[in-house]
Amino acid sequence: MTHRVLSLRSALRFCVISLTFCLLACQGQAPASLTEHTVAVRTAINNNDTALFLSLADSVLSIREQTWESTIDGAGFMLGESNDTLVNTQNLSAFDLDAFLHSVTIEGDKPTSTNVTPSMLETELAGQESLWKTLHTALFLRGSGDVEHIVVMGFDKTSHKLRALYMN
Amino acid sequence: MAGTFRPQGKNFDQRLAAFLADVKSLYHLDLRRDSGQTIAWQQKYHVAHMFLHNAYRTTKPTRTDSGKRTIAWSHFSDPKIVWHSVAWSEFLRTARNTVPLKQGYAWQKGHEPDRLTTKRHVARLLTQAGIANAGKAMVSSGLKPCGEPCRCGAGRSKHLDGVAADLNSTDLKALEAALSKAQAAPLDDYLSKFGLHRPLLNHPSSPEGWHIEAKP
Repeated sequence: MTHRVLSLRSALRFCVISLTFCLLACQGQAPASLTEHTVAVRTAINNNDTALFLSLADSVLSIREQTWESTIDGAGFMLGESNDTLVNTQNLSAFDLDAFLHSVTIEGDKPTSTNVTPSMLETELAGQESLWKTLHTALFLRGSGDVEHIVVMGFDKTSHKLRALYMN
Repeated sequence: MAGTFRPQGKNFDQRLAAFLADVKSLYHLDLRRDSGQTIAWQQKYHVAHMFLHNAYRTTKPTRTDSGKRTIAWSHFSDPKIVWHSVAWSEFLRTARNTVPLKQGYAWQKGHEPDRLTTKRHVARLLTQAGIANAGKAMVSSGLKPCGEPCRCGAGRSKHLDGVAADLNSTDLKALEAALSKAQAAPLDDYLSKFGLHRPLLNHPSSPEGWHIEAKP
């Protein structure tokens, strides 16, 4: 009798644990693939979709905007000053995300490269190497004029959330 | 002068000249502008840039060596390649620093291009042309599409058609500071009085504040 009660208890415990895992698996969505996130961020930026953008971004997002400048000492163009912003995506009181999204368009349909390292963009990502080297990256052509303009997205390798943006 | 200038009926060059003269007269500033860049000039130094440096991040020449972003030497020195708008004789050099000689579609023995001498020669071309940052600054293509031996797909410079000019970014900042100090109207209002504007200033995909055009 005692043996049967223990077996029943064990079976019940197994059922409860299995059910718990099932519920957790059903409630929590597995992170979308990095490719899907990359395309979705581009869509959010080009459609000025703040809700979609926020759903893809980490709680803290690093944004670096750098200007191109005509050179001081001759012909050609060089990268000029950069402006870094840390955005708290849970509280946007200090950052106008809508205005930001309206100020950027990405012309490239898909990334031209998805494995750029800080050493390949040493001028662009100077001082932020420790952040970018931990991220999965996607490099897009933003547009072309006298110079080439780019956007680089940096995604957390586990959560696939957008953690850093670079643009010039 | 700004109060009396009437941009209507004036072409781009006349408007820009009047604006630059006014800036000099009122603020004692000489705004530097691009001058004399032709399609041939632009393409020549673009090819030189793509052979030695390539500051572009998403754009590469059609032929590159594995893992590299510049024009492959095997392609650059291929005697069968027909160069477009630029002459190979301006770029390639033999080990004795002379222009290589062709025999049909092959290099003459003893007169073949040499990689190291050619690199030194092209580096000199860039610095002597005044390309900034010791010759490493980005130079856009003069052709659309870009031609041999580069064929990279980079954008063509927008000021080659005589309807726009590039003003020096540093000089523009100095003018903005002078306007602010004088409590005058902002730079873009000032340009507007001369029938000029900066259509790419806040462009979402290619923001280029140095680019000046005539207002339609």
